[in-house]
Amino acid sequence: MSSLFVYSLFFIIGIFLSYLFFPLLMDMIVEGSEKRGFYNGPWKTHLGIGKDTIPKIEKSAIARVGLGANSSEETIYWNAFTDPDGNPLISKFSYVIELKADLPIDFENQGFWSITIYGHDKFLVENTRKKYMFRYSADDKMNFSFPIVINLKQSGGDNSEFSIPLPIKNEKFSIALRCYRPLQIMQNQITCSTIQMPSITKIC
Amino acid sequence: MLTLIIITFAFLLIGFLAGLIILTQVFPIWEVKRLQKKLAKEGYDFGKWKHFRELVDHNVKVIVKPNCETLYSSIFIQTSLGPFCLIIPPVSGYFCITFLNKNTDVLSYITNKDISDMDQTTFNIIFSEKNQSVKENNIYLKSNLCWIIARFGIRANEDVKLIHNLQNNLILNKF
Repeated sequence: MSSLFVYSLFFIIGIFLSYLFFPLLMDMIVEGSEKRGFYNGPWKTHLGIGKDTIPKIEKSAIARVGLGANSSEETIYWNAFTDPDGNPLISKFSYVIELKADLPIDFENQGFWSITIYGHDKFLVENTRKKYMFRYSADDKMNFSFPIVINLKQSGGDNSEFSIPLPIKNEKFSIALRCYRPLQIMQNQITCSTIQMPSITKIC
Repeated sequence: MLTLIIITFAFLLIGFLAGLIILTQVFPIWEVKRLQKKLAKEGYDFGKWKHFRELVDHNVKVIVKPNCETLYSSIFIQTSLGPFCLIIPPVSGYFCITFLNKNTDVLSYITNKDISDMDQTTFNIIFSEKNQSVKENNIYLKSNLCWIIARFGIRANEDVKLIHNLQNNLILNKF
């Protein structure tokens, strides 16, 4: 009887430990698992958001980092957690994001893309400029030409549109590239790999 | 003694795995219901829009990875109590309405292509036990609990008042 009690107790402790470990598991799936999601260089996405056919574990991971996310037909969410060499993005270094060509977005129907920086806690990075992202739509075609270069620095760099501050403490950060109204080429896993994604370069 | 320890850790492991499996199955539903209850506590019960009026900044820690390029309006409805009439004002900038079930599956969505930028557009939201595509402005939802999220694209702080006006004119009524 006492053995049964001990076994039951450890079973319950196991359940409790799973509750504590669950967020970490979800983060591992979103950030690290090569079997879950799709890669183009350091950029990772999931092309099945919103579908009822994707595995539950992936649905849970998506709910953790993007509850209420649009379906992949309407928005594709790319994330970068490492540079092209596989090293984590760390704010003590400066980085340059370069887009040599436009992304396949339906600009005619109000589509646009944006790049946003998040700290290790997955929230926006505190800074006095309140500058967190860069956005590009059809209206910007007259003002910006390619290549578009965005600077990421701890000090925040200059005050221009093309400079986004990184966390002051030396910590990991991530880059989110949101593509609203992606064209069909980005929605298909085969053709998606042919897209020239923004490059991420570490400046030591 | 060794056998006892092994069995004990086996139960620990089984509990751990069982917990992970259960959490994986229920987490999205859990999160959606948690959000719905939170909104209800704030006074936004079923059928009442919560309009997010301000662009997020680094002080906002409600949902991870908030975006800074859209303003949201959110509402929960019980579809079986409908049908409902959704009236969307004319919108010229980026706009999207998504209909999700409690499992975060996207049941349907409306974009700029489906609405007018000159006049309001009306949709009927109807509970249906079968999957049906949108027909003649009828949106059929195969879920009783439905979370509706409207997203308005915003370019600059100057657009905020315009978006507020659009949000105020976003109407959802029962027939």
